[in-house]
This record gives sequence, C-alpha cells and structure tokens, in this order.
Amino acid sequence: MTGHLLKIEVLEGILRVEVAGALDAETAFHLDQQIIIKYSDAIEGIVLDLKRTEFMDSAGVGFVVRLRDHAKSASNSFEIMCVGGQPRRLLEQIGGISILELKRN
Amino acid sequence: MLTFSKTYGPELVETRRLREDIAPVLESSSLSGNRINDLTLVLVEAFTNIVRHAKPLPTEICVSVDTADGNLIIILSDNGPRFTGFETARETARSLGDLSMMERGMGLNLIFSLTSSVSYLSSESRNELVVREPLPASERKTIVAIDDDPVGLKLIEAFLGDRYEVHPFNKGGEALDHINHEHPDLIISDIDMPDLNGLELRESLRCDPATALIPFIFLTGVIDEKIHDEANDLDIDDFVEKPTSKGKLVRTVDRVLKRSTRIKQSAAAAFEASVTNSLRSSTPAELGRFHFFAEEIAASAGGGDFMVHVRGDDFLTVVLLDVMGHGIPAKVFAHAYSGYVQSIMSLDETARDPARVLQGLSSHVARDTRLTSTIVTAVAATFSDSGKVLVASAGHPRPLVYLQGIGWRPVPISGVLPGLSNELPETKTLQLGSGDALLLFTDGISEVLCRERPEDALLSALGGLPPPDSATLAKLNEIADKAGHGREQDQDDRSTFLAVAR
Repeated sequence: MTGHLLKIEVLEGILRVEVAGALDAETAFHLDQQIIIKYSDAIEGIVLDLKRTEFMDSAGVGFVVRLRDHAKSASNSFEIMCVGGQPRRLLEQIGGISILELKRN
Repeated sequence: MLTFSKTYGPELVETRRLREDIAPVLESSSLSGNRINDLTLVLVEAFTNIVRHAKPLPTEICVSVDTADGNLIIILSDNGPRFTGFETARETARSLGDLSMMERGMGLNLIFSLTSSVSYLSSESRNELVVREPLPASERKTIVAIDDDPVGLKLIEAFLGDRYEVHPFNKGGEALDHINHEHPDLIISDIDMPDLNGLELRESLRCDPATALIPFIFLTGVIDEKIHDEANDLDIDDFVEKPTSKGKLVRTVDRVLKRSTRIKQSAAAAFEASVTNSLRSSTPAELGRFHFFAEEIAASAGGGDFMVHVRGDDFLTVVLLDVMGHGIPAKVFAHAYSGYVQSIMSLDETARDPARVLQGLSSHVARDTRLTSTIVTAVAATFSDSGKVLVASAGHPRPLVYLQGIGWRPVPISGVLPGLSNELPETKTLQLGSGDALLLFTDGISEVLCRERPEDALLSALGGLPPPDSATLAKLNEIADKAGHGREQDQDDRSTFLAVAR
C-alpha cells in the first residue's frame, strides 16, 4: 500500500489516531492540521494506532514525538499500538522504542 | 544498461510513487528485506529534503538504479540549487541509537547512518546523491555459461558479471559435470560445440529431474532453421541469436530468472496449501453430554499443530500435538506424526487410554531417526459419557479445567517429551459435572498473549469467565483474532485450542 488513510476520532475522552499506509512527510503534515482541530482540553489521552502503517520516515517519527510531547504537556496518557515491519525497525534503529514506551500489541 | 531510471516532480506525494516503483527493482536484487527497507528510506529522506528545503525547487528529480562491480548504485539527481551543507552534515552526523538524532536533522542522519557509502556530487546543472550498496556475493544468482569460442565466453562474462556470478566453460562435458553438482540458477549455452554440443547438453539435463527445471537459454550464431526447431523442442526458456547486445542479454536473463522465481514460489505455495489442507484437524462434535468447541489459527507460514480424535463405543479420545517450528518442514513432520497417532489409536484398547497413546507415540519417535531433528509436544484426553476424563501429557502445556464453584485452574500433570522415555506417562483422572469444562491448547496461544507460561497466560485472559459459554468463546475468539492479525512479523506459530464443556 503506498497510499494512506487517516482516521482521527475522539471516543470517551480518548483521541484515537489511526494511520494506514505511509506515515511520511505528507501524512504528517495533514495529521498535524487535523489534530489541532480535534484536540481539546476535554481529551484525557491519545492512542496512536500504527497497526496498518507500512512505511514511516523521519517526518513520521517527528509527528509521533510531537504527539507524545503534546500529550505529556497536557498531562494526558499516550500509547502507541501495534507497530511492526519497517516502522518498528526504524523506531528500533533510532532508539525510539524505549522513549516512546511502545506496547507489544 | 540501467536497471531503473525514472523522473519525478518535486512534490512530497511523489515519494509514494517512488517507493512503489523502486520496490520491485530492489526486491529483484540479492539484498535482504531489511536492507531494501533501509535504502528505500534513504531515498525517501533525500527526496523529501530536496522538496522541503531547495529554493528554488528543481523542476525534476530523477532516480536511477544500476549495478557495477558487485555494487548496487543508486543515484538521486535534481536540477535545483546545490545543497552546500552536505559535508558539514556528514561530519556532525550522529549514529543510530543516539536519541539526540530525533531533535533535528534526522533525515540527513538516517541517510548517513543507513548507507555504507554515500557521496554528493554537484555540477552547474545537476546535483547527484550517489549511494553504493555492496551486493552480497554469496547470494548473487549463479549462471553457467558454455561456449567453445573464448571471445563469446568473455563477452557473456563482461555483459553479466556485474550482476551475476558467472561460471564459464568451454566444454559441454565439463559444464554438465558442474551443473549436476552445483545446480546453478540459469544456464546459457552455445549450440555448435565439439565434445558435447548444446542440443545434447540440453537433452541430458532435461532427462534428469534434478536439472530439468533449471532455466536454460541458447545463445548461438547457428542460423539453420532445422536446428532452431530442434532446440525449441527441448523445453528451453529462450533462444538468443548472436551477435547480441548487453542490454538484450541482461533483459532476457532477468526475465527468465524472474519467471523461474515466480514459478518456484507459486509451486511452493500450492504445496504448502495442500499440506495445510491435509492437516486440517478433525474436531469431534459431541459425546453424550460433552460438547466440543475447537478453534485453529493458522499464521502466515503456519505451524505444525494438529488434532486427531477417535471415537469408540463409549469413549472419545482427542490428541493435540504441537510440532515445533513453522512452515513446510513443520507441516511435513506433522504429517508423519499424524500418521503415527492415527495408527496407534486404531486399536480400541489403546485408544481408550491416553497414557498408552502417548507411550506409543514416544516409542515411534525414539525409533524413527528422521523425527529426531524436530521436537513435538502432545496432550491426550479420553472422555467417557459418565463425565470421567483421563488426561496425559508429553511435554505439553498443562490443560485448564473449570470446576463449578472453583473456577479455572491448571490440571496438575506433567510428562516428558515424546521420544525420551518408553515408560507409561502419568494419567490424571477428572470427573466433570454439569457446567464443568476442560481446555486443551497449544503454546502458540501463549505467544499471542506475550507470556512465558501458556497456562498462566490463558488463566489470566479467561479471568473469572465461566466455562465455554458465549462469553468464554468470545474471549477465545478475541485471542484467535489477535493471533491472526496483531502478531509480530517473525511470530508465525499456529495456535489451536479445544474447549470441552459438559
């Protein structure tokens, strides 16, 4: 899959972001724009679902770190779910697994 | 000859087209999947850097891939302004794992960290980022080239040597000897040769099943149509007339090799599918007041789990086996075990005693040296209509039992792996009443649940749920769903469970 599909929703106070396909510079740009609209004080936590993410580049990593920092600064919880394949390899290579506290599944 | 060359517009969305285009090119090399991912990332980072930072933007960005001297040469060129900070960025680049890399300049850091050789060349009209990636020599495809003309032979080596490992021979007989021992990936042969001519060589290879399917190309200056017809009747893959160009020969070899790879993959997939189908577990439906619910989750490569049951006049015995490993080898071994277990259970008096079934399996495994290269675990349970259940284990995860008023707990039973002992394994007797249940499973489930001890993992997952009713089955299905969709890439064991409720 080289295209992408973004799903951003707020359910019971949790902002859930799902990225299918590529989390690259273009996707990160769109996500940044959309999340600013969705994000509000009512959010208690953020879940980033990368189950269907097949490719991630440095811009994608940048987006993940920004989202994590955003959650931290607002004292919200932050979880990344289901990272595998190339995105996981990239996060492992740059040491991002531990600082992002990746869940196994 | 260029393997790949394409021009893109200076837009971020073009990185996706680039990834799509470059994937089959890199996959056709001998690089590993991880290296292909790394190089794709390097290209995307370089492309993105140009689109985001070049002012003014170039009007085009070109990507080409070629091979030379055992290296893959990837060039990303653009007609925009020169990037002056390349060498400075290289000097200050941080290595992989340095978390400060995430602060800024990660794209350039990745380009330097993920490449063994990268350079940036700039002229007045064009900038070029050049990545050299050594191709693993041992994994390069091997070609046997046969021609009695030394010039013709040298030409084949010169045309193909940078992409393939070429073994040249000027005598058909010597080449045949080499092919029979080494089984190359492709053969290119002249026709008109002394000693053994090309047609005789091909005929000889065709008659041997071990060499018949090695892709074969005639490269010849023979213009006799009768000989051409004769050659075409020998199941060859292509016929190239001399003189030929490097481009034509490389394209022909590439095409024939790719087709051969596809056929092999397709045949392997068909074989695996047929083996998998033949190992489909036979699940009992019910015995008296016992009801059976089975779930089997075959991962992508599939493991060697299988379940066999036999029904007697007043009993039903189920054996669940887990052959360690995955893929076709595990399934082939599972086939062998399946045959043994079914033959052991063909006698009623043995089949009604799970310990004797496992003892029989153990002695077969000890005797059959072909099975020593794998490990199997097994659990057997015999159910009687009265509610009595006999359970025996051979190195298998402990089953779970649900007793009314107590809940789920492991059945305290153990036994050594099949093949290690000829002694009768321990048997545990359970008496299941209405509302009680037994759960047999393989350890693929524990991997899904990320726990070391599968029974603990399942106990925790089932929590206080009652025996197989709709809620428990929903939980088991949820576990199955995780197994099917949320697994790590390298985790490809199969998971099987059988819930028996009364």
